[in-house]
Amino acid sequence: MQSDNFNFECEYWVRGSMSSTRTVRVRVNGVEYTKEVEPRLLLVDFIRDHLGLTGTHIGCDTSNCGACTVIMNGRSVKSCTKFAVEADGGEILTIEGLASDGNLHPIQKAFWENHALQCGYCTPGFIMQAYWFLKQNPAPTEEEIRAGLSGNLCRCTGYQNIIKAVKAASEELRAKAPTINGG
Amino acid sequence: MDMSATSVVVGERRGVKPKPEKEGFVGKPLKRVEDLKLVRGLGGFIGDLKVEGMVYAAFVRSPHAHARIVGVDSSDVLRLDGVIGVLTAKDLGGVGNLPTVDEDAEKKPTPRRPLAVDVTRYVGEAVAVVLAKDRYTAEDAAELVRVDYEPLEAVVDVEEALKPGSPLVHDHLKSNVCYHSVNTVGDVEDAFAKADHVVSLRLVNQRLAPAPLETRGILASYDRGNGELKVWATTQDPHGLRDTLASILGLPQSGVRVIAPDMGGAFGSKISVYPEDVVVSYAAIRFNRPVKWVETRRENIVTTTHGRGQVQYVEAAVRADGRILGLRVKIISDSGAYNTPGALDNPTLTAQMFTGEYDIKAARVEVYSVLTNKVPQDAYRGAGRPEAAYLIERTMNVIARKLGMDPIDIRRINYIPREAFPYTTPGGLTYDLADYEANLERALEFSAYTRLRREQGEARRQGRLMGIGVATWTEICGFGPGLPQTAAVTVTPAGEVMVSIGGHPHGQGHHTPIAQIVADELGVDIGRVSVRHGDTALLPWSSLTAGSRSAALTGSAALLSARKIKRKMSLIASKLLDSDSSELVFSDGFVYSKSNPSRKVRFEEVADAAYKPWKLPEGLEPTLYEYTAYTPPDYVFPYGTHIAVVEVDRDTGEVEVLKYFAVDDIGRVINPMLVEGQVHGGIMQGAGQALIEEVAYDGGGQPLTQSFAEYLIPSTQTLPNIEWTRTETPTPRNPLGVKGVGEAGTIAATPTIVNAVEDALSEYNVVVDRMPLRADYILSLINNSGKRQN
Repeated sequence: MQSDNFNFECEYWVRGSMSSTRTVRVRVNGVEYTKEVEPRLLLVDFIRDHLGLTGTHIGCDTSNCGACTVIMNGRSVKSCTKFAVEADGGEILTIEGLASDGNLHPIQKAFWENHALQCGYCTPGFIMQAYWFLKQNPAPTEEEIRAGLSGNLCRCTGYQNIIKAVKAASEELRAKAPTINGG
Repeated sequence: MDMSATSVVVGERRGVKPKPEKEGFVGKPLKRVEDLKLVRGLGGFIGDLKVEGMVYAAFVRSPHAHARIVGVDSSDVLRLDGVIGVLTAKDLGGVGNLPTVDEDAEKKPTPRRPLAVDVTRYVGEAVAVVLAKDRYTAEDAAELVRVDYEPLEAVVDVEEALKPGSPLVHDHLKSNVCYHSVNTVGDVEDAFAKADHVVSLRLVNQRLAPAPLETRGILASYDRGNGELKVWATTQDPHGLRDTLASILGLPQSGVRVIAPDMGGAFGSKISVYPEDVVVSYAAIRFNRPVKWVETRRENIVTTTHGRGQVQYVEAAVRADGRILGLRVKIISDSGAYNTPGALDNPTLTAQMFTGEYDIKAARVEVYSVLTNKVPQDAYRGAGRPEAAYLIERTMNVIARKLGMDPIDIRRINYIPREAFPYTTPGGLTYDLADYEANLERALEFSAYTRLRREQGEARRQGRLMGIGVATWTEICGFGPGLPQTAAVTVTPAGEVMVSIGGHPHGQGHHTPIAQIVADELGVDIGRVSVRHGDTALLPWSSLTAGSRSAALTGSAALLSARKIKRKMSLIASKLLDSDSSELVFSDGFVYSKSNPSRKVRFEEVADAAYKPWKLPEGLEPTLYEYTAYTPPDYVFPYGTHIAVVEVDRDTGEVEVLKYFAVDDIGRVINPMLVEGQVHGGIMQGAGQALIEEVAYDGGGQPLTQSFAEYLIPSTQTLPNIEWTRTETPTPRNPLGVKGVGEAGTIAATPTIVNAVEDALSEYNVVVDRMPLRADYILSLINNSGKRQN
């Protein structure tokens, strides 16, 4: 069976719309940005190439792996399948915005202490997803953590230490809860 | 190395971590230094790198598995705003071929151009490249390249490709066989004549996509003034890429510098030199612009080399008591479209390791490597050894079931006994040192095996399909006598210790264990030691990072370099302290006199003196820099026992892994936290092969798995927490006594889980003959067993 369904050239699918641009105003990690972009520009490319925040990674292009996870308007999103224009007027938190005053966020610290990363490529996405997940569920069970992170893929760790790290972070965050302001 | 201490069981009870054997950094679970940047998103991966004036490449790829290229028309492309240029095969006249095997009686080389000329041989083969000011424009432009193809008949199934009359992947060869070998040891015919039983089976080790989370990429920049090509690339082998690029592009080796930046996983798929490496480097020179290309995930799954891909026929001559008298094995390896060196390594390693931990005196192994219209095969975590472990461990399971034996007993009766080491195998290897029996005993105790069997009996009485699978594995590691690895140690005038290593990490975490080794040797705090890697300018030469060899080889090279530094610093300190250099001790940041510890000098004072000729003993050369190219005397062979408990849903066919226990013997351990991380990740990848992963093609060679929606890799839902411990039998074959752990879990987990599922299905009396064990396949086994209830 022969088919012509394989078209490598269609990775970036919106074509022929390059002449017009749109203005995107967005607050990222507390900083206001205004940029003129093509309507087809993906949010992840906007964050990485236009804002220079390369901690948000691209792993799959199809929302399967979660390496590109950021927090947009309080929700975790996979930025590889959002357009930059969808972020207009919004607020985004990326991995670079998580540590404050040079101190690691408890989730970052827990990933370090529990050896929850090897190559580190999926790590920012996992940390951002864990950040959002622990806001929804501050005292999760192991099973709930596994379900909450099931949209993120890691090829190195086997997940065990990631689960452990998120559990440890949840405990530290709860212990510190009165002083945590959500940032 | 004390060889009399064979197997030391570490950890008194389940869950107790082995203790470090001496005070020092080696043996301690130190946190990794590189994590502080990675958890903050401050890594520098290939996709993150930018160079002034950089343009982007997009490749035009074949949509056909096999086709004649009738014409390529790129005239429309240059009209698109932002396009810099386009290259097709005819523009690459002066560029050499990609590596293939050297021809001999067994091997047939297959010439391969960086861009396909005349014929394309797999879907995704690069035909042209377009350069543009940004990636979006480059992708747009690639669409405008018109390639006229005349489709040819493709051959996809590896056994079909072996048949006479099959379409030929390369017309100049008379068949699709590109490698054939036979190795016979012992009297195989006699073994089969004496056998009480002959067990035959056909096993399929499916193609897998290594699929690191970071895809491949390259950024090439040519400095016309200095005549230097600088390449940042996702490579496991910077010096190898340097030398190959120099050869293919006709540049001096001194005119190419390769840097491997932070890498998001590799698993063997970033060893070989790819067409894109050559084309992007050439384009940077030709257009005098830095050129960058980063693979999409779709390109990664379809055009990055695949691992595994073997059909195995096994016949075992077995005595009534379960002793294996002989084996006949035929391995048919699916090389894909080109006979690359990596495609050949896999089946040859399988043919060396196929007898595993067992004392098998007579064996015949025949290997066919066969060309098909698919992307070439190459290394993937384990590279040939998972296929070997699968072959023998599945065979053991099937024999045990045939004889009604426990899978533990069949292994015990066939193990190479501990007193037989060093032991030469039918595959021609000499195993270093092992005590399989002790490791197995530890695994039985650790998993509470007897209790598990009781629980299984109870589950079966309730009608549940619970299975227990066992696999005992060994692998060849620490490559090897022919493949040295390098490291250099510099001590700066301020007493900082800088280690440059030839091996480099893509997740393994080389920094920390290498620093642990060097800090212990020099008696300094680990914070004083920094480790750098991945740049051909750092060291004169290096071999690749692969095969679980970094601790054994890079670690030994770093240790030996540190020893040389220590020797030189002792001479300097002996002058400063007016002591005999042979009685000096390096500890706590000081150099002491052993006989009079009050005589001491700070490590950094000795370092400073090394740069001041007037402070040196006569004849001693200033500076502190020592280099070692470490060559081991032979390979090392870690081993272990894994036990999985699974449950199969007889109505849906779904498999759930309930428990997973692993007891590995990887020799001495430098950093137990990192080692356990390797075990977890390795087991997960082995489970991926057993349960969900498979590169699929249709009959015409169209890839059916093109994204992570189709090519499934394990998620948080795949396995429960792994319970792991170890026995410790240090190898005498390197100064650290380490063996290697990177691939261990992957090698063991696949047969362990498949054996468990076969055990779960024992009431149906079926042989699991393929992977992955998805629900539809399990249901078909149950339904076709003739014992389906209801």
